[in-house]
Amino acid sequence: MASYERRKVTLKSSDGEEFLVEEAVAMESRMIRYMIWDGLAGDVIELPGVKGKFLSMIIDFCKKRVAWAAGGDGTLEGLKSDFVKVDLGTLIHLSAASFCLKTNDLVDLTSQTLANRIQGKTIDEICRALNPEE
Amino acid sequence: MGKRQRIIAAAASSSPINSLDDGCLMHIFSFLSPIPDRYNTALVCHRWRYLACHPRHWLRVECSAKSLAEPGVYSTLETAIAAARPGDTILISAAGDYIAHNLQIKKPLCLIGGGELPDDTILTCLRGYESALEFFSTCKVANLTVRAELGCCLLHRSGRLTVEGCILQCEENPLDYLSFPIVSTAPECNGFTSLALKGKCHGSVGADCVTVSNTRIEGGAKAVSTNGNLVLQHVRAIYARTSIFFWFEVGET
Repeated sequence: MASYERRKVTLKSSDGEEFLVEEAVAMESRMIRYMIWDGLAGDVIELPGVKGKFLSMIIDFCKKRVAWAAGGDGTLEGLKSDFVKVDLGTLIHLSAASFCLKTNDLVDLTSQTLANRIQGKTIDEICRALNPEE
Repeated sequence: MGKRQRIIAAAASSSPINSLDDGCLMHIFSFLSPIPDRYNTALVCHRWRYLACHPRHWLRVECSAKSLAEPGVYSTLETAIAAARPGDTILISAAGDYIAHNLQIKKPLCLIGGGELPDDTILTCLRGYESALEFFSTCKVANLTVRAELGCCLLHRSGRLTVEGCILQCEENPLDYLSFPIVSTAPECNGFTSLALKGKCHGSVGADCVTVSNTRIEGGAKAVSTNGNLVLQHVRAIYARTSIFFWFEVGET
């Protein structure tokens, strides 16, 4: 099979960080996928709703996911559980970023993780659980 | 809003989770079970109440004309039941008197009273009707008062009925055969039950039963009348000053 240059695209976060990624990885985000399909994306795609720190975590997950789908090691469940092993503040930002990028897997994953923190608690406990200072 | 409520609301507003937009929060709440989790989130602050009670999650029954213009809000329990899809939750708001006459519920639903106490939301069944609510499907009733002037409050035909934290009121000195808070005509489940447990069953077969917890029962000849083959069991009662709180099950022996 002849190798070919896979198209790469640059994703630019709200605070100016740039990430060069393969198109396949970027297309894990439905928002970016539709932009590319509709021909609205240039070489650099600006994402004003997402900060660099969280964008890099999401890109990392997407890269691993694409590698896994192509027959890599590990399990998807393992990838997902590693992704959400973060503190509450980061989790909330990741949730917002996933919504913005419409990476459906991550949207459901982060929402479920946050819902788990609310499940089974009284009102006071909910407030305490959702305040990272405690 | 009481002082405690205000403190809770302030804590919630300052939580970073409140920086998520409406769509995000609503999606997160959709992963919670209606009772008790989504109900609890609705009590935290106004914004969460709006999102957790959004018609996408619940149908609401309210009396005030202002809210009737919103989608997902109905003026009577009957119309809400008719419009509900299987598995929906119907939240009945606390301020209002609702009529429930022989309301047949043939799909799995959850009926919840929207007040702090079950006393706040009252469903009344006037004399001349057999029952307030008639259940043909697996349902849950919570935090409500059902008052039947002559007939019965809850008529259980089939499915698993759960009654939690409710008040069932009947006539004080009724004619014996007429007034019971709960009547179950469900037949006992036969040998299919064990097959269902092993996962070999096709179709929906489950044991018919009624599970009651933390419910006040007042009046009536007896708390429960079973005209089918189910049997009253596991009864616990706590005698408070003016009423009795019950926990029991009506199921197969």
